Amino acid sequence: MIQFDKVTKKYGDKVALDELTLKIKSGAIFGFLGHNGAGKSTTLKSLVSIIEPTSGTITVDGLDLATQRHAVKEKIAYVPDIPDIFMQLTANEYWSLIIAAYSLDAEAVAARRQELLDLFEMAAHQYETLASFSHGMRQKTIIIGALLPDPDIWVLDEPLQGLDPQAAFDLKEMMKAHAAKGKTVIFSTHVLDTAQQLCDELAILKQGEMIYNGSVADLLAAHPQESLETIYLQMVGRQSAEGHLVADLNGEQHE
Amino acid sequence: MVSNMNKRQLSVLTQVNLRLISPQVTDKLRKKGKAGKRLTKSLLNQYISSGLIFILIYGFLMLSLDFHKFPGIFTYYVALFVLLGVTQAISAIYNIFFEGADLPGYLPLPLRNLEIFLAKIIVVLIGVIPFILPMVIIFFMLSWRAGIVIPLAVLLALVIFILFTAVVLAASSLVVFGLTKTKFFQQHKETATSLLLGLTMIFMMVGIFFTNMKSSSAGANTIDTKPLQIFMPLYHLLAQPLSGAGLLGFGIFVALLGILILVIRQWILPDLFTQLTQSNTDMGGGTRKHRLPSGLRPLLGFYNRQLLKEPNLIMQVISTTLMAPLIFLMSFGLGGRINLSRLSFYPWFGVFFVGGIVLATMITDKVSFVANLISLDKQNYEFIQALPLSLNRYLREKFRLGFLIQALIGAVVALIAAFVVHIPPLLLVMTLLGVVYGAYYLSHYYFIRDFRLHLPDWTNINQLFSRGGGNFALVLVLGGSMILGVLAVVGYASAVTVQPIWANVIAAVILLIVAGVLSRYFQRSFWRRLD
Repeated sequence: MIQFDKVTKKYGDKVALDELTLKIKSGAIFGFLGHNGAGKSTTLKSLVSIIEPTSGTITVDGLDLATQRHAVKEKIAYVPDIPDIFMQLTANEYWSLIIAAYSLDAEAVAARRQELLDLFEMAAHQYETLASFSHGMRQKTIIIGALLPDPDIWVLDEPLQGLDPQAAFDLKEMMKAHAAKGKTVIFSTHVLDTAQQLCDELAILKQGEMIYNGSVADLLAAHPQESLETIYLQMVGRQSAEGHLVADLNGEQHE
Repeated sequence: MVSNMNKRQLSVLTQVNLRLISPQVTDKLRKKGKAGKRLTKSLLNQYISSGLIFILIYGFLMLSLDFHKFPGIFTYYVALFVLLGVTQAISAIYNIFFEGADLPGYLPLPLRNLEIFLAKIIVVLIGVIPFILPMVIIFFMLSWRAGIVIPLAVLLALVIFILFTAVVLAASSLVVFGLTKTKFFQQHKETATSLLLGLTMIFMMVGIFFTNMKSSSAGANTIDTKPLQIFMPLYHLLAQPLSGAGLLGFGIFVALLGILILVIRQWILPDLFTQLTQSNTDMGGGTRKHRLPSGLRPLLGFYNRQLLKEPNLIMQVISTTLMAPLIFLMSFGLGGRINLSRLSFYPWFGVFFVGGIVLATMITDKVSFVANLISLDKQNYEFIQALPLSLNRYLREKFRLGFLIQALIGAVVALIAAFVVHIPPLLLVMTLLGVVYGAYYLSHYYFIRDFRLHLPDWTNINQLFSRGGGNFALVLVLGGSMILGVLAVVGYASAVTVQPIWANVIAAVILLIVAGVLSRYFQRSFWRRLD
């Protein structure tokens, strides 16, 4: 289980994440929803050790991230939102680096690696540099890298951006399959359909604050007449799609 | 109307390209609040003042030389400026046509190729001419000393200079565009560019070395050297333009330019635009199939070495860090003015050790590899933090490589110094140890500085070099440390001649204390904090 306890991240006076308190159960697919700047990436980057929270604690399976960082990192694999990393390396060289970083036995993961290469149709490109790849191919390269250690927790920041429909479908199936093995999948997205399709549970963030945490089913049940899109837009400060004015602009409170 | 529009487009495109030729200078002027026309004017002023300074320096040097009597020295000066011109032109053409990566942006706009290329050629000329402008003085001095009346000598010098510039530009274009057409360049863009820029720099340094050697005794008792035959037609053309040899020289010059233009027209121009747009949109991809090293350390080493294949970084390291000490050393050693071969190991070993430290100071600055290795990671550095890798270990691997390179560069310079000023082998070993000592602590300082001023989202390598204090601070630090270093060496050497035992004991104690204090400081303030 992952636990965020009053996690706050400030950049000067700006509060990017405001006392986030949250529990994510093992074996679940958990989604973070929110507009740009809502705090989704900050939350994920805090969990994967890229950002140091200003205050609060994060624990993963009872391990305190601040004091047992290495042990926590070994449980997590991360796919960033912008896959423009390690452009100088070939895909093969990048995966070798990941294998070494997670102290994996190259021979033991060879079959898994081949399976992923075939699935993402990357076998023919493994000796090409990431610089020569399209956005989608870089994304696939990094996803393969993240799955090589078969992580307990798989964290993906906007993972479906730039993927072709087949690869997007395959990735969603893999996320489901990963969770079905009892492992945790955490991701952020703007796409409500994806959240509805995949999430066992979700958190909706607005300007660094969590304004909803629960299952999609519970959310829909609470508003039986409305679509997830309408509910979401109302929650993050806009009215439903029927053409009403933006609540934040006129300062009115809409129920 | 159309021609007016074209002129306007040409002017705007020239201004855009002017900002690309030296991004570092542009950034610096922007920080000073310069924008629009004021920025363009300031950029142009930079080149004009460079040209004037060059003319003043070389003009003054050449006043005492009668090139008519010394064709050998004339040809060596021509060789020097050909090298300078070609080096500058290759670098400018590469930066303007390839590094600028602006061509895809022009594609959807209603611009003609003519304006686009003309603007680029104008800016290349603006970048190159200041460096070869002293040629006008050389040409004029030769004609004048040969007895041609001043107005005609000026006219002749200007015409030949224009032809000369055209030949330099055409030859450089052929080198750059010819190379970029090859499969080797397309498959190994970084390596090929580094080779191209690095080799031209080396050629230039060798050229300066030889020219200095040949012309170092120029003066009242000058004895001419053997002329470089390849440039003799130019000598005849300027000395006796209407003689048979002079006309032949003119013919050769025009024919050479004609051949170069013909080759460019036939071989380069037809698919230049396609070649450039492809190159501008290419992200530097390639294929690499090889046996990978196993284990994290060799893999990180391999990755870090890939980061260093940044052509502009290599170019800057060579030009900023290495040129000054090398030229300094070469000038020093000319004619065997300094000969240290008779010095014994005792009592001079310590002085040479400190000399090695001073040498390390001269070649380690914010432009060095070690001072930029962390920021070269770009977004990778953020991703690395998400991996189960100790940041301490990751950065130590980086530091090790950076330090090793600094020590190696220092060792190469020390070896050249040993050759030039005849340092005995055992004292050379002490110099090398001093280089290692100095490089270790200076690499630490600049590595930690890179960590402190970390810049992951740079788009142009020059942004890394302009971090922290400006160029004035850099010059101040470098100049100050060099003066202090030279003073330390001179002071130490003087002390050794008086009290060899005490001077060496005191120096050893100081160096040990400094090493202890710095090691402790870097451990406590940096490495331990990473854990």
